[in-house]
Amino acid sequence: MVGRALIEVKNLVFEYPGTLALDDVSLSIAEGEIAALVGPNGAGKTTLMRAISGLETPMSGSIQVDQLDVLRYPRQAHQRMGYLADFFGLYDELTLRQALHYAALAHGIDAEKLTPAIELAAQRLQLKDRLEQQVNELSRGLSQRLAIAQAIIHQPKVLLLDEPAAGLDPQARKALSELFLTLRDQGMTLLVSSHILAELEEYCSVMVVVEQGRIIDQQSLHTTQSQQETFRIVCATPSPTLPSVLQHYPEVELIRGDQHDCLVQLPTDPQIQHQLLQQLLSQGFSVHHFAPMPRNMQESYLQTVKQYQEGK
Amino acid sequence: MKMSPEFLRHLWLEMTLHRRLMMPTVLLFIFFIAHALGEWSAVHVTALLSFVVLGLLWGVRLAGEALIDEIDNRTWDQQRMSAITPWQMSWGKLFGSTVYIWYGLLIVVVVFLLSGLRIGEPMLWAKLLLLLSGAVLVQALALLMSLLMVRRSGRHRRSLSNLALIATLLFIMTVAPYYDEYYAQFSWYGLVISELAFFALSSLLFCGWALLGLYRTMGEELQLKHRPLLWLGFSLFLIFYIMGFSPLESGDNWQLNLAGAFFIALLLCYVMIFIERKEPLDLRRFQITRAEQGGYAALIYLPCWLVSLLLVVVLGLLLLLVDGPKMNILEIVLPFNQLVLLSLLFLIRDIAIFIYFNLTKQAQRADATALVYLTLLYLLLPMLFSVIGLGSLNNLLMPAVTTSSFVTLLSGGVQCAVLGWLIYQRWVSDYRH
Repeated sequence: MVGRALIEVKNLVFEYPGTLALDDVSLSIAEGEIAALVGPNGAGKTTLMRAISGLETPMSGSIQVDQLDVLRYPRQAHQRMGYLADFFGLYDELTLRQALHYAALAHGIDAEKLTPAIELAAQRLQLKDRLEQQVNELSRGLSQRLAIAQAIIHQPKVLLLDEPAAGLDPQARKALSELFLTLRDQGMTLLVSSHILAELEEYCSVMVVVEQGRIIDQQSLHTTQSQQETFRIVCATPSPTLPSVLQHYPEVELIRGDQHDCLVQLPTDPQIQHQLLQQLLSQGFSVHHFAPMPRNMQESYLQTVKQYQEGK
Repeated sequence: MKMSPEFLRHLWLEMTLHRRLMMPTVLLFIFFIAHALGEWSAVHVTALLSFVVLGLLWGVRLAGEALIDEIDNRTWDQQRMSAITPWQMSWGKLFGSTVYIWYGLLIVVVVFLLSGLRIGEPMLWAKLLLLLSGAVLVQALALLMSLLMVRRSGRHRRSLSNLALIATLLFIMTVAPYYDEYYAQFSWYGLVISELAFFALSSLLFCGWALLGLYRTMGEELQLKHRPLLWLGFSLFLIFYIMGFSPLESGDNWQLNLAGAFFIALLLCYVMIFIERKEPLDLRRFQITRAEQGGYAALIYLPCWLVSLLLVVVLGLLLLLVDGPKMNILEIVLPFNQLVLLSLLFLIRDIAIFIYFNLTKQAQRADATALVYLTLLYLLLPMLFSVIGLGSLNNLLMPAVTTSSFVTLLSGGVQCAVLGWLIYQRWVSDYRH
């Protein structure tokens, strides 16, 4: 699924009067990834997004999207990108069909391909039955969907989304997460900026941490690619020997543990996991919880920021 | 020409069935009443007035607000992210935002022509050309101004369209006296031409320049960088155009013509330093691009006001080399060399004032502040000095050719040096990382 680098940012420097907004930022996002751009407010996420999308001119550095130099050929690059700003607007007086028609024309789609493009975008965003509805009649969640439909109508390879879930209810957020995964499966690469990590966790495969205009970490969140998984093992009764027993297994790496609760790294192979559980039970441990820990992006992010601040 | 999506969107929004029916109905009512009151001559005058109201006044407001509406509705970024070319965007916005007006104007033009032919109106086609090109000119300028304002400060003001309206009224007041001057003639570079025809052709020419300017500025906004050659071209054109009115025969006193060109370039420099974006970071972009890609590539960051300043300097140096220190104009003997030097020096001082205030982190009101200081220097302080009997001090504040020109020269030099030092200090403290 994951392939060549589709977004390549090198040594990007961006200044606002008196403020260094991006300080020598380099970034590479591979094809097929959903990358989360995380960081506190004012870290430079939006500036980075706008620079990648070719809306702002950086001081120096280079940006390539699908091997096209964005700074040199911004209009051509726009045909390979879709961008949804954090505060976006829609043409309220148009119908959804007209809004999509306009977006398609604006992205240079030929007349004969207009109708299929509108139909496809509406279908992807589940707006097909609302095409004749006026934009100002849409809810916030549906408006968001229309805005994304407009941004992807030309089937870009890269979609940039700045705080896409802001103001959405939990149900709409869930639908948005599913949509992003669908778009990824259809071949799109997404860069999503947000500071709500719980929502990003559901669909992101890469986390890029931005802090004070710098990228301080970029880590893969692929569980499928990793050879190890973090497991939590909890016993119903006190078992003082549990940590030492676990340490004897060559496949197990003990992270931390006490007589009740241990955290270990296990191979992703289900057979090995099953064997370990079976052996623990056969040795008389009252295991009542044996499960992989959910990926915790928030924890990982906070740890990265803490390390960065300690290292400063 | 490929259909602009922007134009199409405006068509959907503006040309609803109700509005399409309303415009001709109202206009036909008006023309019918005019005919009933004063036959065809009244219809013709009514058509003329309708054109002015629709095309020049209402059209200017709509064109001036086209971009502001996008920014208010937060749709401008979406348009900037599209593949719409600068030219499609320019004409799409210009004629799209005013499409309803032009729909009405089409009817007005037909009535204007029919009534004009009926009453035997002289130079009807020249008048029509003047009206049509004038309407496009003022609408294009209104859109261009709003684009420049957005680029300059990242902000916009609805009151800007009021300014555009005032500018349009000035345009109308300038042109109106010549509208019925069928027999009056201009001499332009010795070419004798009817005033009305000259205005019509001039309006058409400037309309072309306005559209070019709009196209180029739109390109900048869409991240397409250009070297400021178009502005240089326009400056040279304007100098050539205005110099055509010079009463002096060619070769009669070419130094004086050169002086005329110098002062036109000077005026253009003042106009640009005020209306153009003065982004201090563009200077660093210029430096970095020059270091990485060479000087020619870095010219994309050269502001137009700097191009004008270079033109002023070149013309000024030429004037100084000409050695015409005492040219006699209208019986007044002026030491031109001194005037040129002083004008140049005080232009640099005034530019420095604009630059200094634009170097602040919060530069939203920088140009207004600079204007206040210039008003103080050129108007209020001289008035105060004159009132209290210290009029001679005015020579320290502005270019004045008197016996004490050396003092003025020295004062200008000191002011430039002080401002240069202040600019350097601010640059070092706020911008040099």
